[in-house]
Amino acid sequence: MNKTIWIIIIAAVALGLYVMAGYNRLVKADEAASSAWAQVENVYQRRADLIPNLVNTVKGSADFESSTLQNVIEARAAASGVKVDPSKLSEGDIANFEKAQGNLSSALNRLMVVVERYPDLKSSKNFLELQAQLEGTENRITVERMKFNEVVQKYNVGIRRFPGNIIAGMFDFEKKGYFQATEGADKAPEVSFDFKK
Amino acid sequence: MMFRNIFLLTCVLSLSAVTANVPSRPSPPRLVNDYAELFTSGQKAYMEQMLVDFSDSTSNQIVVVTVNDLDGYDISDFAYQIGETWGVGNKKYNNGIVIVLKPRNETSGEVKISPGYGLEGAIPDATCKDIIENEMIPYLAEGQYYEGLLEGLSVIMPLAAGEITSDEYANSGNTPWAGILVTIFFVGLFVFIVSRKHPPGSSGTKGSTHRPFIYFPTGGRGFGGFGGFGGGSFGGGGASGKF
Repeated sequence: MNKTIWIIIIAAVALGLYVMAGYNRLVKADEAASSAWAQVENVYQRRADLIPNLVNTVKGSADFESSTLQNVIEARAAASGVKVDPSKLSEGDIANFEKAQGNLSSALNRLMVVVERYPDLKSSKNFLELQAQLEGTENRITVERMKFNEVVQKYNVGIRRFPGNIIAGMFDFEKKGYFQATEGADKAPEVSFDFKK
Repeated sequence: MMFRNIFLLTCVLSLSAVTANVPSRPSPPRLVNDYAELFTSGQKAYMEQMLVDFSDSTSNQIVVVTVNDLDGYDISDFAYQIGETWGVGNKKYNNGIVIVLKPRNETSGEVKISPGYGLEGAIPDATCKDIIENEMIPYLAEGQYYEGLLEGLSVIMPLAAGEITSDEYANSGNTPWAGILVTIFFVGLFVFIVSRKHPPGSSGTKGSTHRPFIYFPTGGRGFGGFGGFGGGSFGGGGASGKF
């Protein structure tokens, strides 16, 4: 009799420890996703920070098409307005964010195409520097998106696989969103036009 | 279940297909990886020793990779993959730099400087671009790959070591002073490193510090001293150029 109670207690403790370990694993994966997201926001912010400077430089070249510039400014404003809850990173949030940033990417891309028609602007030191920074930032964005997707994939697999799925159900861990694989829209401002992809 | 297994297998296979093309981490680890065979063995050894010494004294790891073919990779992606999978730089400071050079052959030549997270501030993208355009491409376009790399390194190293700032480099413009100052620094650093490797008394010759440039590592001493990659991480920064 005594023996059975002990067995039950030991089993309960073991189960508790097991659940705890599983829970901690999920928390860790969740944290990793949040910090990867912080990096993603960082690099997009970095791009947003470059834009005022870019716009001013381009404006300096007198008769530049104002509609192109206006599009960039508006797309930037719209993109900064999209907020993502970093503790959830829900699929809807990520999709909205990606869409808004994708619009900014295409606006920037159009701007760069138009700049091709202004040789003076194109070869000015200021512009060349901004171009290099923008190019580097686009590469950073690609990298951080990829890293984010990897981390989220680990997390999503973790909450769907047994026994993680049970623990995730108990503690309300929800599926997180991915970036869609680098599609044209967001890989847009390949500023120098010499990228092969 | 069956389907999921097949799906996972496909994922794994496609992943390995993507990463298969970037050369895997060399064993034993080395910093100069001349897969395109552009350098003589003497040049390779000299550059390797220079970079090993630089790594020993500053902990910044600079890797040079030459390839004839980027296998369809964008050069930025190629450099990133190398940095990340080899773990160039140490894990704490992420202070690695990857320089990829593809010589001009059927397709145009390309070069990329990619600093790790920790060096993005010391060597910003615009500076990478300047180094490529001003220091390296004049040589690379002539097919002088070794000289082009050395010229680039002579700016990258003091920048990474924090001895000059990117502003100082930018402001020095095209005046010959810039080159002279950088060279002085570079020579100074080299003398310093070499003199530290040969403390007076240990090798017997007190005056050995005045002959760093006939110091050839092929004698065996110190060569292969590279301790291995440290697990540094990369964010995709830097710049590239074509020639």
